[in-house]
Amino acid sequence: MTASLVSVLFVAAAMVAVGAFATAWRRDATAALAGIPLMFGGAGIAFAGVARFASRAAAAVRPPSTQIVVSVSGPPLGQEAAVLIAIAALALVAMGIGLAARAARTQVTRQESSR
Amino acid sequence: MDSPHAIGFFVSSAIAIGGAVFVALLPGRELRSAALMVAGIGVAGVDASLSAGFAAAVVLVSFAGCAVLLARPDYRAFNWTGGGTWRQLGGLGAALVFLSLAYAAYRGAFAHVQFNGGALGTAAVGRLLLAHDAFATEAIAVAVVIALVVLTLLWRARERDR
Repeated sequence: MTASLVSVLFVAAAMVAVGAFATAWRRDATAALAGIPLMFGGAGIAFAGVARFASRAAAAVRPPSTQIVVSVSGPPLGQEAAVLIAIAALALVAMGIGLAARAARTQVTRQESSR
Repeated sequence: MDSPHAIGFFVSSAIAIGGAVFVALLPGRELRSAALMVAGIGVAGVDASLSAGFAAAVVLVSFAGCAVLLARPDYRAFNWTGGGTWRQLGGLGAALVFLSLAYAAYRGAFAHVQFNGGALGTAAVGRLLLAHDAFATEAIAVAVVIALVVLTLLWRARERDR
């Protein structure tokens, strides 16, 4: 049993799609925010998978013999992107919750003043 | 990837996707936050099986923070969607996103390399974050500060209203 980059990208695609579905399906804006970490987590999985399986390989082609050189992986740039994306997701959810609470209060105030 | 890592990858993937589906469908903020935490454990497990242990730790903390924020007791609902048609179109769009991404992954001709990093990769990621791409790190730090400032200001405004 083994897992390849295709398996990793399948899982990442499923996470992104389920996150998009959660965001689109929820009527409540605060509940819809739960889809953001799912989508960002899926993107982070894709970045980490590329860093694990395929970094720098595409550029390592030797022209004269057209032989593909299987080299070692480079710096884990994908892991770095996954870390930054995870932090950005938390910040986005925090800001979104604050803005949704503000909008809900404005909505309630307008309803009360119209009565 | 050897068999133990592969088993960990597939089990973690099932946990992550199952938790994500429950986040999308479960009613109630407590259940939804618990499902988000389960999805975070799955995503962290996937990252750990991909030899990205440091990213897994950060992802776990991030999902836990999001779950705590979404489970706040002073939750106030705010409807933002119009009708059911837009929601159904959104669900259809999510399915199309999955199909297109899965097709791109299936058709992609990827070259593989020998992975020479450790299980955690903390030192390499730290070098990238703090030396090579310090500007990106600072940009994310500024975004976090802005989010915290917005959250604090809105919280203070709410307390004043009370």
